[in-house]
Amino acid sequence: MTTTAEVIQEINRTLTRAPAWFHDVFGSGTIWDVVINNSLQVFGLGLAGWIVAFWFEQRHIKSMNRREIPLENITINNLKKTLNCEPQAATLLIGSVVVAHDYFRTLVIFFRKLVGGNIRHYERLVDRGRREALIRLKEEADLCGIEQVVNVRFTTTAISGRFLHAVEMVAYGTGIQGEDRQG
Amino acid sequence: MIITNIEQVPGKTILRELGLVQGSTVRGKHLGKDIGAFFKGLIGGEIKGYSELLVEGREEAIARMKKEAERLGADAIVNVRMTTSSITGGAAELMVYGTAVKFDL
Repeated sequence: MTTTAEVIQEINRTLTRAPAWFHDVFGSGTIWDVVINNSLQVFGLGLAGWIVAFWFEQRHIKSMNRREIPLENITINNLKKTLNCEPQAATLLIGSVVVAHDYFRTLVIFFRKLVGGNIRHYERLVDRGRREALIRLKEEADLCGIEQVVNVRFTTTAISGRFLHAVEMVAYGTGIQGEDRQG
Repeated sequence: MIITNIEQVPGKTILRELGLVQGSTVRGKHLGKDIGAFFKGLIGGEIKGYSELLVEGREEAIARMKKEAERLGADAIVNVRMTTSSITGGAAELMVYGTAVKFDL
């Protein structure tokens, strides 16, 4: 007679049992045993990821700075009416992006949350994501030849993947095409 | 079909409201994309697989909303709002809703 706990343990063992080639490379045990035995290497991999992530972040910010320049003439507001413009046509515009942290920062954030306060890493991530969403909205507007976007709204949602937790940012608004009242 | 998220359609007068229309979809990606996302998680940044998933999902939701509005004989959908929620690991629900309106009586 096997208990439920034993069954669960058996299932867990079966799921985490490593394939044969894995044993040849890392020795015996389940995947978790290997991860724990090689914790230093795993930590090193995380650290390397963090450094690469930092580099990618800087590159992304630079690319956003570059892409924002030609989009400066598009005016954005969250009013429900159009200003200085005789509107002729309207279209819904959407810009969205899904961003996530690297695992090392997730660990850093875990420790940060023990103390509480502002979580700077997350603030930077959401700022970056929202800016990217807005740029995509403007790029879509630019593609349609629209110069005014009204009633822009933002939503943020936590998306849980099978392995990874990410944040989705959406910016949406109504693009207005029309004649300028001033001439 | 004109879709806006303001309360009117610029340059047109709304004479009749046909009521709330909505479209929603729950979408997931295949395991391969999730594994790709797992490795992308090592360096963080944009998760292209999921961005794509949600863009496709939103298009689908808007198409469903449009279909419902067409069934009612609407000319436009105004005051559109969007929500996203994570239903379970690897799947998300996208919902779009608005008010269907007509320009003539």
